Amino acid sequence: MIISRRKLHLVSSIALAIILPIIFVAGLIFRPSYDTISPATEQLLSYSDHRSGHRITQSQDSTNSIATFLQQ
Amino acid sequence: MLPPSQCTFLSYLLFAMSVSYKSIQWNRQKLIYDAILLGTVGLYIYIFLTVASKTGTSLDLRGIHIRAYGSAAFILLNVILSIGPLTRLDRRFYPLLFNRRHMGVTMFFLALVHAVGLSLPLLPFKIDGVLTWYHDFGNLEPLVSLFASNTEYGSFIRFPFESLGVGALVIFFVMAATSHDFWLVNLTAPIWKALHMGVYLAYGLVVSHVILGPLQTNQHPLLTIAVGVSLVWIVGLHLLTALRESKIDHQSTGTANAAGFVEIGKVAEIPENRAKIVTLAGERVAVFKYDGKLSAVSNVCQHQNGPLGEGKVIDGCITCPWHGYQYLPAEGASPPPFTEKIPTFAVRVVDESIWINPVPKPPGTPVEPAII
Repeated sequence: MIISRRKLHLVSSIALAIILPIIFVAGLIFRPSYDTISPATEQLLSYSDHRSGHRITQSQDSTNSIATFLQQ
Repeated sequence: MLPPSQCTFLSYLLFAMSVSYKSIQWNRQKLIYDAILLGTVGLYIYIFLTVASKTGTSLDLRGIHIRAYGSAAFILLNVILSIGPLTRLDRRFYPLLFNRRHMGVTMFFLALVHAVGLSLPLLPFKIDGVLTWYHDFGNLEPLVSLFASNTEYGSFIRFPFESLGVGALVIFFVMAATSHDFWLVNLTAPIWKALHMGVYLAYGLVVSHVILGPLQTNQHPLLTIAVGVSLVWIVGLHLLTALRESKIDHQSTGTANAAGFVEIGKVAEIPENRAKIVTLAGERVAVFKYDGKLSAVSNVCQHQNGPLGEGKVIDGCITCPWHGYQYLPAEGASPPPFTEKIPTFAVRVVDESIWINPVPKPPGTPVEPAII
Protein backbone atom coordinates (compact mmCIF):
# COMPACT_ATOMS: atom_id res chain seq x y z
CA MET A 1 0.00 0.00 0.00
CA ILE A 2 2.72 2.42 0.94
CA ILE A 3 4.85 1.52 -2.07
CA SER A 4 1.81 1.95 -4.29
CA ARG A 5 1.36 5.44 -2.88
CA ARG A 6 5.00 6.24 -3.59
CA LYS A 7 4.42 5.05 -7.16
CA LEU A 8 1.40 7.35 -7.38
CA HIS A 9 3.58 10.22 -6.16
CA LEU A 10 6.17 9.41 -8.85
CA VAL A 11 3.51 9.24 -11.57
CA SER A 12 1.94 12.52 -10.35
CA SER A 13 5.35 14.23 -10.34
CA ILE A 14 6.11 13.02 -13.89
CA ALA A 15 2.67 14.14 -15.08
CA LEU A 16 3.12 17.62 -13.54
CA ALA A 17 6.66 17.84 -14.96
CA ILE A 18 5.29 17.23 -18.46
CA ILE A 19 2.01 19.14 -18.41
CA LEU A 20 2.80 22.31 -16.42
CA PRO A 21 5.85 23.46 -18.45
CA ILE A 22 3.78 23.03 -21.63
CA ILE A 23 0.96 25.16 -20.19
CA PHE A 24 3.50 27.72 -18.93
CA VAL A 25 5.32 28.09 -22.27
CA ALA A 26 2.10 28.01 -24.31
CA GLY A 27 0.59 30.58 -21.95
CA LEU A 28 3.47 32.94 -22.70
CA ILE A 29 3.63 32.27 -26.44
CA PHE A 30 -0.10 32.66 -27.04
CA ARG A 31 -0.50 35.52 -24.60
CA PRO A 32 -3.05 37.73 -26.39
CA SER A 33 -2.54 41.37 -27.08
CA TYR A 34 -5.70 43.25 -27.88
CA ASP A 35 -5.39 46.33 -30.06
CA THR A 36 -6.95 49.41 -28.56
CA ILE A 37 -9.46 51.42 -30.47
CA SER A 38 -7.19 54.42 -30.92
CA PRO A 39 -3.74 55.69 -29.93
CA ALA A 40 -5.41 57.86 -27.30
CA THR A 41 -6.96 54.80 -25.69
CA GLU A 42 -3.60 53.09 -25.77
CA GLN A 43 -2.19 56.08 -23.95
CA LEU A 44 -5.08 56.03 -21.48
CA LEU A 45 -4.48 52.40 -20.57
CA SER A 46 -0.73 52.90 -20.10
CA TYR A 47 0.82 53.16 -16.66
CA SER A 48 2.07 56.47 -15.30
CA ASP A 49 5.78 57.02 -15.50
CA HIS A 50 6.69 58.62 -12.18
CA ARG A 51 10.46 58.52 -12.62
CA SER A 52 10.40 60.81 -15.61
CA GLY A 53 7.79 62.99 -13.95
CA HIS A 54 5.49 62.36 -16.87
CA ARG A 55 1.98 61.36 -15.86
CA ILE A 56 -0.29 60.12 -18.59
CA THR A 57 -3.86 61.25 -18.19
CA GLN A 58 -6.97 60.89 -20.26
CA SER A 59 -6.65 62.82 -23.41
CA GLN A 60 -9.17 65.54 -24.21
CA ASP A 61 -8.32 65.17 -27.86
CA SER A 62 -11.44 65.20 -29.97
CA THR A 63 -10.14 62.11 -31.80
CA ASN A 64 -10.60 60.09 -28.60
CA SER A 65 -13.60 57.96 -29.55
CA ILE A 66 -14.49 57.15 -25.94
CA ALA A 67 -14.60 60.82 -25.03
CA THR A 68 -16.62 61.54 -28.15
CA PHE A 69 -19.08 58.78 -27.31
CA LEU A 70 -19.49 60.07 -23.76
CA GLN A 71 -20.05 63.61 -24.98
CA GLN A 72 -22.85 62.35 -27.23
CA MET B 1 16.07 0.30 28.15
CA LEU B 2 13.62 2.11 30.33
CA PRO B 3 10.59 0.20 31.52
CA PRO B 4 7.45 0.63 29.45
CA SER B 5 5.77 2.51 32.26
CA GLN B 6 8.38 5.26 32.06
CA CYS B 7 8.16 5.26 28.29
CA THR B 8 4.41 5.79 28.54
CA PHE B 9 4.84 8.58 31.02
CA LEU B 10 7.25 10.36 28.69
CA SER B 11 4.81 9.83 25.85
CA TYR B 12 2.22 11.74 27.86
CA LEU B 13 4.66 14.51 28.64
CA LEU B 14 6.56 14.96 25.41
CA PHE B 15 4.42 13.70 22.63
CA ALA B 16 0.97 13.84 24.15
CA MET B 17 -0.50 10.90 22.30
CA SER B 18 -3.89 9.86 23.51
CA VAL B 19 -6.15 6.86 23.25
CA SER B 20 -8.84 8.77 21.38
CA TYR B 21 -8.81 10.50 18.00
CA LYS B 22 -7.43 13.70 19.53
CA SER B 23 -3.98 12.31 19.02
CA ILE B 24 -1.90 15.42 19.37
CA GLN B 25 -2.88 18.18 21.74
CA TRP B 26 -1.87 21.80 21.77
CA ASN B 27 1.62 22.27 23.10
CA ARG B 28 4.24 24.99 23.23
CA GLN B 29 5.87 23.99 19.94
CA LYS B 30 2.54 24.12 18.12
CA LEU B 31 1.71 27.53 19.52
CA ILE B 32 5.10 28.92 18.47
CA TYR B 33 4.73 27.31 15.04
CA ASP B 34 1.28 28.83 14.55
CA ALA B 35 2.34 32.24 15.85
CA ILE B 36 5.21 32.35 13.34
CA LEU B 37 2.91 31.13 10.57
CA LEU B 38 0.15 33.67 11.20
CA GLY B 39 2.63 36.48 11.91
CA THR B 40 4.43 35.85 8.62
CA VAL B 41 1.20 35.72 6.63
CA GLY B 42 -0.05 38.92 8.29
CA LEU B 43 3.26 40.69 7.63
CA TYR B 44 3.24 39.60 3.97
CA ILE B 45 -0.30 40.93 3.42
CA TYR B 46 0.52 44.18 5.21
CA ILE B 47 3.66 44.73 3.11
CA PHE B 48 1.82 43.78 -0.10
CA LEU B 49 -1.05 46.19 0.57
CA THR B 50 1.25 49.00 1.66
CA VAL B 51 3.63 48.71 -1.29
CA ALA B 52 0.88 48.11 -3.86
CA SER B 53 -1.23 51.04 -2.70
CA LYS B 54 1.74 53.41 -2.89
CA THR B 55 3.14 52.40 -6.27
CA GLY B 56 0.64 54.56 -8.12
CA THR B 57 -0.85 51.88 -10.34
CA SER B 58 -4.42 52.05 -11.48
CA LEU B 59 -5.41 49.12 -9.29
CA ASP B 60 -8.08 49.92 -6.77
CA LEU B 61 -7.68 48.88 -3.15
CA ARG B 62 -10.17 46.02 -3.33
CA GLY B 63 -8.44 44.60 -6.38
CA ILE B 64 -5.22 44.76 -4.39
CA HIS B 65 -6.83 42.73 -1.60
CA ILE B 66 -7.76 40.00 -4.07
CA ARG B 67 -4.17 39.87 -5.33
CA ALA B 68 -2.68 40.04 -1.83
CA TYR B 69 -4.65 37.04 -0.51
CA GLY B 70 -4.32 35.08 -3.74
CA SER B 71 -0.55 35.51 -3.89
CA ALA B 72 -0.23 34.71 -0.16
CA ALA B 73 -2.12 31.43 -0.71
CA PHE B 74 0.04 30.59 -3.73
CA ILE B 75 3.30 31.26 -1.87
CA LEU B 76 2.12 29.26 1.15
CA LEU B 77 1.15 26.37 -1.13
CA ASN B 78 4.70 26.42 -2.48
CA VAL B 79 6.11 26.31 1.06
CA ILE B 80 3.79 23.43 2.03
CA LEU B 81 4.71 21.40 -1.03
CA SER B 82 8.43 22.01 -0.42
CA ILE B 83 8.45 20.58 3.11
CA GLY B 84 7.74 16.92 2.27
CA PRO B 85 10.51 16.42 -0.30
CA LEU B 86 12.97 18.52 1.74
CA THR B 87 12.53 16.16 4.70
CA ARG B 88 13.32 13.25 2.36
CA LEU B 89 16.57 14.98 1.42
CA ASP B 90 17.62 16.27 4.85
CA ARG B 91 16.32 15.31 8.32
CA ARG B 92 16.85 18.86 9.62
CA PHE B 93 13.63 19.88 7.87
CA TYR B 94 11.50 17.53 10.01
CA PRO B 95 10.42 20.26 12.49
CA LEU B 96 8.63 22.02 9.62
CA LEU B 97 6.59 18.88 9.02
CA PHE B 98 5.33 18.74 12.59
CA ASN B 99 2.45 21.14 12.11
CA ARG B 100 2.12 21.26 8.33
CA ARG B 101 -1.63 20.68 8.51
CA HIS B 102 -2.13 24.09 10.11
CA MET B 103 -0.25 25.60 7.18
CA GLY B 104 -2.62 23.82 4.82
CA VAL B 105 -5.72 25.06 6.63
CA THR B 106 -4.30 28.62 6.70
CA MET B 107 -3.62 28.39 2.97
CA PHE B 108 -7.20 27.24 2.33
CA PHE B 109 -8.62 30.23 4.23
CA LEU B 110 -6.35 32.65 2.33
CA ALA B 111 -7.58 31.16 -0.95
CA LEU B 112 -11.17 31.36 0.32
CA VAL B 113 -10.81 35.07 1.18
CA HIS B 114 -9.24 35.59 -2.27
CA ALA B 115 -12.34 33.99 -3.84
CA VAL B 116 -15.30 35.10 -1.71
CA GLY B 117 -13.89 37.89 0.46
CA LEU B 118 -14.42 38.27 4.18
CA SER B 119 -17.32 39.89 5.94
CA LEU B 120 -18.07 38.91 9.53
CA PRO B 121 -20.42 40.65 12.01
CA LEU B 122 -17.72 41.20 14.61
CA LEU B 123 -15.03 42.35 12.20
CA PRO B 124 -14.74 46.13 11.86
CA PHE B 125 -13.63 45.83 8.24
CA LYS B 126 -14.76 44.01 5.12
CA ILE B 127 -12.53 42.43 2.49
CA ASP B 128 -13.80 41.96 -1.04
CA GLY B 129 -12.97 38.82 -2.94
CA VAL B 130 -13.34 37.89 -6.59
CA LEU B 131 -17.04 37.05 -6.17
CA THR B 132 -17.92 40.21 -4.28
CA TRP B 133 -16.00 42.52 -6.57
CA TYR B 134 -15.53 41.35 -10.15
CA HIS B 135 -18.84 39.49 -10.29
CA ASP B 136 -21.10 41.51 -8.01
CA PHE B 137 -22.36 44.30 -10.26
CA GLY B 138 -24.08 42.50 -13.12
CA ASN B 139 -27.50 40.97 -13.65
CA LEU B 140 -26.33 37.49 -12.71
CA GLU B 141 -25.70 36.01 -9.31
CA PRO B 142 -21.95 36.32 -8.58
CA LEU B 143 -21.43 32.54 -8.52
CA VAL B 144 -23.31 32.10 -11.81
CA SER B 145 -21.43 35.01 -13.31
CA LEU B 146 -18.13 33.38 -12.33
CA PHE B 147 -18.84 30.42 -14.59
CA ALA B 148 -21.03 32.10 -17.22
CA SER B 149 -19.24 35.39 -17.93
CA ASN B 150 -16.60 33.59 -19.96
CA THR B 151 -17.75 30.42 -21.71
CA GLU B 152 -14.74 29.80 -23.91
CA TYR B 153 -14.11 26.41 -22.35
CA GLY B 154 -12.90 25.10 -25.72
CA SER B 155 -10.15 27.69 -26.00
CA PHE B 156 -6.73 27.32 -24.41
CA ILE B 157 -5.56 30.86 -23.89
CA ARG B 158 -9.02 32.30 -23.20
CA PHE B 159 -10.06 29.35 -20.99
CA PRO B 160 -12.10 30.55 -17.97
CA PHE B 161 -9.20 30.35 -15.54
CA GLU B 162 -11.53 31.05 -12.63
CA SER B 163 -12.98 27.54 -12.90
CA LEU B 164 -9.47 26.10 -12.43
CA GLY B 165 -9.14 28.07 -9.21
CA VAL B 166 -12.56 26.85 -8.06
CA GLY B 167 -11.51 23.25 -8.71
CA ALA B 168 -8.38 23.72 -6.59
CA LEU B 169 -10.40 25.45 -3.86
CA VAL B 170 -12.81 22.50 -3.66
CA ILE B 171 -9.87 20.10 -3.22
CA PHE B 172 -8.33 22.35 -0.57
CA PHE B 173 -11.69 22.48 1.23
CA VAL B 174 -11.92 18.67 1.35
CA MET B 175 -8.35 18.49 2.64
CA ALA B 176 -8.88 21.20 5.24
CA ALA B 177 -12.20 19.71 6.39
CA THR B 178 -10.64 16.26 6.87
CA SER B 179 -7.36 17.49 8.31
CA HIS B 180 -8.24 16.68 11.92
CA ASP B 181 -7.06 13.40 13.44
CA PHE B 182 -10.72 12.44 13.86
CA TRP B 183 -10.88 11.90 10.10
CA LEU B 184 -7.43 10.35 10.00
CA VAL B 185 -8.53 7.67 12.48
CA ASN B 186 -11.97 7.07 10.99
CA LEU B 187 -10.93 7.03 7.35
CA THR B 188 -7.73 5.09 8.24
CA ALA B 189 -4.30 6.41 7.33
CA PRO B 190 -4.06 4.82 3.83
CA ILE B 191 -7.38 6.32 2.66
CA TRP B 192 -6.66 9.64 4.37
CA LYS B 193 -3.22 9.88 2.77
CA ALA B 194 -4.59 8.90 -0.65
CA LEU B 195 -7.28 11.59 -0.29
CA HIS B 196 -4.69 14.19 0.60
CA MET B 197 -2.61 13.31 -2.45
CA GLY B 198 -5.20 15.40 -4.27
CA VAL B 199 -2.89 18.30 -3.44
CA TYR B 200 -0.85 17.48 -6.57
CA LEU B 201 -3.91 17.88 -8.78
CA ALA B 202 -4.78 21.06 -6.87
CA TYR B 203 -1.25 22.42 -7.43
CA GLY B 204 -1.57 21.75 -11.17
CA LEU B 205 -4.92 23.58 -11.20
CA VAL B 206 -3.55 26.54 -9.23
CA VAL B 207 -0.50 26.95 -11.49
CA SER B 208 -2.75 26.74 -14.58
CA HIS B 209 -5.12 29.25 -12.94
CA VAL B 210 -2.21 31.67 -12.44
CA ILE B 211 -0.75 31.14 -15.94
CA LEU B 212 -4.07 31.61 -17.75
CA GLY B 213 -5.26 34.38 -15.42
CA PRO B 214 -2.89 36.86 -13.76
CA LEU B 215 0.00 36.10 -16.14
CA GLN B 216 -2.15 37.10 -19.11
CA THR B 217 -3.19 40.47 -17.73
CA ASN B 218 -0.13 41.33 -15.65
CA GLN B 219 2.77 40.97 -18.05
CA HIS B 220 5.43 42.22 -15.67
CA PRO B 221 8.52 39.97 -16.09
CA LEU B 222 8.89 39.58 -12.31
CA LEU B 223 5.56 37.75 -12.01
CA THR B 224 6.36 35.50 -14.97
CA ILE B 225 9.78 34.66 -13.51
CA ALA B 226 8.30 33.98 -10.05
CA VAL B 227 5.74 31.52 -11.45
CA GLY B 228 8.44 29.85 -13.56
CA VAL B 229 10.77 29.49 -10.56
CA SER B 230 7.92 28.06 -8.47
CA LEU B 231 7.13 25.51 -11.14
CA VAL B 232 10.75 24.39 -11.59
CA TRP B 233 11.34 24.26 -7.80
CA ILE B 234 8.22 22.31 -6.78
CA VAL B 235 8.04 19.91 -9.71
CA GLY B 236 11.82 19.40 -9.75
CA LEU B 237 11.97 18.75 -6.02
CA HIS B 238 9.12 16.22 -6.10
CA LEU B 239 10.48 14.49 -9.17
CA LEU B 240 13.94 14.23 -7.62
CA THR B 241 12.70 12.74 -4.36
CA ALA B 242 10.15 10.44 -6.05
CA LEU B 243 12.89 8.99 -8.28
CA ARG B 244 15.19 8.64 -5.27
CA GLU B 245 12.53 6.79 -3.26
CA SER B 246 11.72 4.58 -6.23
CA LYS B 247 15.40 3.62 -6.48
CA ILE B 248 15.40 2.62 -2.77
CA ASP B 249 12.27 0.51 -3.31
CA HIS B 250 13.95 -1.39 -6.11
CA GLN B 251 17.15 -2.21 -4.22
CA SER B 252 17.69 -5.95 -4.04
CA THR B 253 18.36 -7.47 -0.62
CA GLY B 254 19.68 -10.89 -1.60
CA THR B 255 18.04 -14.31 -1.63
CA ALA B 256 16.50 -16.13 1.31
CA ASN B 257 18.33 -18.99 3.04
CA ALA B 258 16.78 -22.38 3.82
CA ALA B 259 15.01 -20.96 6.88
CA GLY B 260 13.50 -18.18 4.79
CA PHE B 261 15.73 -15.40 6.22
CA VAL B 262 17.35 -12.73 4.04
CA GLU B 263 20.70 -11.09 4.82
CA ILE B 264 20.27 -7.32 4.91
CA GLY B 265 23.70 -6.11 6.06
CA LYS B 266 26.10 -5.90 9.00
CA VAL B 267 25.38 -4.86 12.59
CA ALA B 268 28.08 -2.17 12.42
CA GLU B 269 26.17 -0.35 9.66
CA ILE B 270 23.44 0.73 12.09
CA PRO B 271 24.19 3.54 14.58
CA GLU B 272 23.02 3.06 18.17
CA ASN B 273 19.30 3.88 18.65
CA ARG B 274 18.88 4.24 14.90
CA ALA B 275 17.62 1.99 12.13
CA LYS B 276 18.50 0.63 8.74
CA ILE B 277 15.61 0.64 6.25
CA VAL B 278 15.40 -2.21 3.75
CA THR B 279 12.75 -3.25 1.24
CA LEU B 280 11.52 -6.80 1.79
CA ALA B 281 8.55 -8.49 0.13
CA GLY B 282 7.41 -5.22 -1.40
CA GLU B 283 7.38 -3.12 1.78
CA ARG B 284 9.98 -1.29 3.82
CA VAL B 285 11.26 -2.74 7.07
CA ALA B 286 13.10 -0.76 9.77
CA VAL B 287 15.77 -2.67 11.72
CA PHE B 288 16.57 -0.86 14.96
CA LYS B 289 19.73 -1.25 17.07
CA TYR B 290 19.34 -0.39 20.76
CA ASP B 291 20.74 -1.56 24.10
CA GLY B 292 22.77 -4.38 22.52
CA LYS B 293 19.76 -5.74 20.64
CA LEU B 294 18.14 -5.66 17.20
CA SER B 295 14.42 -5.54 16.41
CA ALA B 296 12.71 -5.30 13.03
CA VAL B 297 9.36 -3.62 12.50
CA SER B 298 7.35 -2.19 9.63
CA ASN B 299 8.68 1.17 8.53
CA VAL B 300 5.14 2.58 8.47
CA CYS B 301 3.78 4.50 11.45
CA GLN B 302 0.09 3.86 12.10
CA HIS B 303 -0.66 7.54 12.67
CA GLN B 304 0.09 9.16 9.31
CA ASN B 305 2.24 6.42 7.77
CA GLY B 306 5.43 8.33 8.63
CA PRO B 307 8.84 6.64 8.09
CA LEU B 308 9.58 5.04 11.49
CA GLY B 309 13.05 3.97 10.36
CA GLU B 310 14.06 7.61 10.05
CA GLY B 311 13.21 8.18 13.68
CA LYS B 312 15.20 6.97 16.65
CA VAL B 313 14.80 5.01 19.87
CA ILE B 314 13.98 7.45 22.67
CA ASP B 315 13.49 6.13 26.20
CA GLY B 316 13.25 2.60 24.88
CA CYS B 317 10.58 3.45 22.30
CA ILE B 318 10.83 3.76 18.54
CA THR B 319 9.75 7.36 17.96
CA CYS B 320 8.26 8.46 14.65
CA PRO B 321 10.05 11.53 13.27
CA TRP B 322 6.81 13.07 12.04
CA HIS B 323 4.63 13.46 15.12
CA GLY B 324 6.39 11.53 17.89
CA TYR B 325 4.22 8.40 17.96
CA GLN B 326 6.02 5.68 19.92
CA TYR B 327 6.28 1.88 19.74
CA LEU B 328 8.09 -0.70 21.84
CA PRO B 329 10.59 -2.31 19.42
CA ALA B 330 10.14 -5.92 20.53
CA GLU B 331 6.34 -5.63 20.90
CA GLY B 332 5.40 -3.79 17.73
CA ALA B 333 2.86 -1.86 19.81
CA SER B 334 2.55 1.49 21.53
CA PRO B 335 2.97 1.32 25.29
CA PRO B 336 -0.35 1.07 27.17
CA PRO B 337 -2.84 2.71 27.24
CA PHE B 338 -2.17 3.46 23.58
CA THR B 339 -3.42 0.99 21.01
CA GLU B 340 -1.38 1.54 17.84
CA LYS B 341 0.22 -1.64 16.49
CA ILE B 342 2.67 -2.31 13.67
CA PRO B 343 3.84 -5.55 12.01
CA THR B 344 7.02 -7.12 13.37
CA PHE B 345 9.65 -9.34 11.74
CA ALA B 346 11.82 -12.18 13.06
CA VAL B 347 15.47 -11.13 13.16
CA ARG B 348 18.71 -13.06 13.71
CA VAL B 349 22.39 -12.14 13.93
CA VAL B 350 24.95 -14.60 12.57
CA ASP B 351 28.62 -13.59 12.55
CA GLU B 352 27.84 -9.85 12.60
CA SER B 353 25.39 -10.28 9.70
CA ILE B 354 21.72 -9.37 10.14
CA TRP B 355 19.12 -11.80 8.80
CA ILE B 356 15.42 -10.92 8.55
CA ASN B 357 12.45 -13.12 7.79
CA PRO B 358 10.55 -11.09 5.16
CA VAL B 359 7.17 -12.52 6.19
CA PRO B 360 5.57 -9.92 8.48
CA LYS B 361 3.97 -11.03 11.71
CA PRO B 362 0.53 -9.60 12.53
CA PRO B 363 0.65 -6.08 14.00
CA GLY B 364 1.55 -6.10 17.67
CA THR B 365 3.07 -9.61 17.67
CA PRO B 366 5.98 -9.67 20.17
CA VAL B 367 9.24 -10.90 18.65
CA GLU B 368 12.34 -11.78 20.68
CA PRO B 369 15.06 -9.23 19.80
CA ALA B 370 18.33 -10.57 18.38
CA ILE B 371 21.18 -10.14 20.86
CA ILE B 372 24.26 -8.54 19.32
